[in-house]
Amino acid sequence: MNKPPELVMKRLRKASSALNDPGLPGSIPRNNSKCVLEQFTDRLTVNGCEWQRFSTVRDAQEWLNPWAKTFKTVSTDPQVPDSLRTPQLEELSPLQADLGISMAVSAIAESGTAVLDSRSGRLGQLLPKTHLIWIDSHRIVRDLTTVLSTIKSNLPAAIGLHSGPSRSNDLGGIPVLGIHGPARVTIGILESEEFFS
Amino acid sequence: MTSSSIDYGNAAERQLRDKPHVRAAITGATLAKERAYEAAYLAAEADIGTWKNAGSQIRRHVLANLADYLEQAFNTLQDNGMQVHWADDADSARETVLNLCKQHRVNRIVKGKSMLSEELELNPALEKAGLEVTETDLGEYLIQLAHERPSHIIGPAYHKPLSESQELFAKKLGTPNNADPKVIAAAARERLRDAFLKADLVITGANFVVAETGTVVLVENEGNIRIGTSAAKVHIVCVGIEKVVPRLEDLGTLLPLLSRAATGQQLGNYISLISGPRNEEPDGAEIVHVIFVDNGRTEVLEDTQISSVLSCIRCGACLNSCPVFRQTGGHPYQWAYSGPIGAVLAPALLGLERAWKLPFASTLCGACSQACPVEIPLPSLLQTWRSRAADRGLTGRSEALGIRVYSVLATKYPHFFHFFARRVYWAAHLGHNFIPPLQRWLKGRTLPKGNERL
Repeated sequence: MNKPPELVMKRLRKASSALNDPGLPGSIPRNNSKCVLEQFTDRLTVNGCEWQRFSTVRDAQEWLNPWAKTFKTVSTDPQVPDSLRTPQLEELSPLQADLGISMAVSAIAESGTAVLDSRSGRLGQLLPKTHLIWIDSHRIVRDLTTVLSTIKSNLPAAIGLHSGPSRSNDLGGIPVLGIHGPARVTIGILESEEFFS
Repeated sequence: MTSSSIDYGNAAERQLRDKPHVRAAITGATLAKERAYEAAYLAAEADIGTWKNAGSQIRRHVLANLADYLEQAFNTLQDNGMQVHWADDADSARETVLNLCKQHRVNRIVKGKSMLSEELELNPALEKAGLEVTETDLGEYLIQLAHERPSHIIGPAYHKPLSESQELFAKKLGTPNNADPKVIAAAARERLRDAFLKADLVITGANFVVAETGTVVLVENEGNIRIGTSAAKVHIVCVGIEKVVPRLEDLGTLLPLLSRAATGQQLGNYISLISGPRNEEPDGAEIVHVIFVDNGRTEVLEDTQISSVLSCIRCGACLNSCPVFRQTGGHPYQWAYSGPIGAVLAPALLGLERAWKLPFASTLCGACSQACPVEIPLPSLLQTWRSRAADRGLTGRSEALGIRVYSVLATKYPHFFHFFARRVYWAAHLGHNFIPPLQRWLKGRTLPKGNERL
C-alpha cells in the first residue's frame, strides 16, 4: 500500500500541533415545520423539475402510458419494477435512447435531490434528453446528512445526487438547459407499498 | 506564465482601457451571483451563522489533524481499489499524470473543470506530450477554444459577453452568426458528447475527499463530470492535500454551504460520490487514480498567521462580493485563483516577492469575509501580507517614510496633522494637485476634512 511521504507527514503534524482543534460539530438544528413530502415537491419546482404523486399503481400507469407516447426509445434501469416500465418503447442503450428511466435509492427534501446508485448504470441517468426518476415516498428524508449516514455502510462505486436538469450559465449569463445531461427531469413519487410488492 | 512580479494595478488599468466590455460582463455576473448567495443564505432551513460556524469548524479540525486524515484517506481509497499518489509540487504532479497517460496508453483526454489543474498548468504539459485534451465544462470549453484563461474560479467565462461567444462558436463550430444560446449549447453538446465517447481518460479535480469512506466528491451543474467519469476507462483525480474531510456526514454540512455560496443553489445539480472503480456495474471508470498535490500547501500550514486560508472550499463567493474584483474579473490577478482568496493564496503559493502587490488590490471593506461560507478572515490575511511586504522593503522607501511621517504627525502633533489634513482636503476638493506623489492616490478617494476645531 502506498503511504503519504513520512517527512511531509511529520512536518504537517508539527504544523497542526500549533493550531487550535475545535473538534467536529454536531448536527445543525433546522427550523422547518413543513412535512417532508411537501418540502420535497416545493423544492423540485424551484429546481426546474416536473413531478407527479401517485397513490396506486393504476394512477401511475394511467399517467405514464400517454406520457411515454411522446418518446420513441427508452433506457430503463434494471431496478425499475415491471409495472413502472414502458414496454411500448424500444429499449436501447443510454446513448441512443431519448428517455432514461431510473429508480432512486433515496431522496432529499431540503434540496429536491434524487439519490441514484451506479449499480443501476450511470449513463442511463445522464445521456438521454429526458430523465424520469421513480422515488418511493417512504425513502424521502429531510436532509443530506441523513441520507449519507444511511447509505454509508453500502456505498457503490458512484452515488449521483441529481437536483435538476443539466444547466449552464456560461453563455453571457443566460441559462441553458440540457447542456450535457438531461434537459428535462420528471420525478414520479410513489406513495404506496403496492409498487414494490 | 512569467516569473516576474504580478502587477494587478497595471494589468487592471490596461484591461479597463482596452476591453471595457469585460467590466460590464463581470459586474453583471458577480452581482447576480451575490444576489443568489444572499437569497440562498436567507432561505436556508437553519440559521446560516450556525451553518457557517459548523463548516468552518470542520475545516479547522481537518487542518489541526491533516496528517492523520491524509493517512486515513490513503488507506481507505486504496481499500476501495483506487490507486493513490503523492505529488510534492507542480512538476511532479504533471509528471505523474503524464506517466499514467503512458502507462494506460492514453490518446484522448476529457477534463472536468479543475482550478488545481490551472494551478499546475496541466493542459499545456499534456498538449506538449501530443495528447488531445478537451475541456468539457461549457465555460471552460469556451475558454479553451478562445485560448484564454478562466476569469473566475466558478464561472471561467464570466468575462465573455454573449456576442463574443456567438462569434467564437460561429468560427469554431460553424453555428450561425448571433445564434441563440440554445443553438450554441446544442452544437457544443454534440461536439463534446463525441469527445466523451472517444476519450480514454477523464481528468477531474475534487471538491472533497472523505477520509472515513475513501470517497472522491465532485460538484457540478452541467453533468459533464458525471458523464466523463462514467464513460472513460481511466479516471485521474488531482486534489490539493487540504481537501480531505473526516466523515461522509460532514458533506451534509459542507456541500450545501459550498452550493449556496457558489451559485445560490441548495445543492449543485450533480454531485458524484466516487468510492472506487466500477465493480460489476454496467458502466464507470475501471481504473481510478487519486493524486494528492502538496505544491506549497505544507509550508502554508506551517505559517500559523496564514494557514487558515487552507480552509477554503473554492466557492468563489469572495470574488463575487469584492468591489475590486467586480471591476476587472480575474485576468489582471494573472493566476488561477483571483479575487480576495487569490490575493491571499498567491503570496503563499507563489512567494511574496512575486505576488506582494495582490494583497493591495483590495479596499479591506470586509465583504469577502462576510460572504465566506467557512469564515476565513480574508481582510486580516490580506493585512498580514501587506505588513510583511512592507517589512521586507518591497513596498518602497518613500511609502515607508510617508507612513512614518504620518504616524508621528497624527499621534504626537494632532494640531499640525489636522491643520494639514484640512488644507489637503480643500486643495483636493478644488482640484489642486499640489502634492504630486499623492495625485494618483487621491484619484477616486475622498479625504477626511480634518477636525475643524483643532
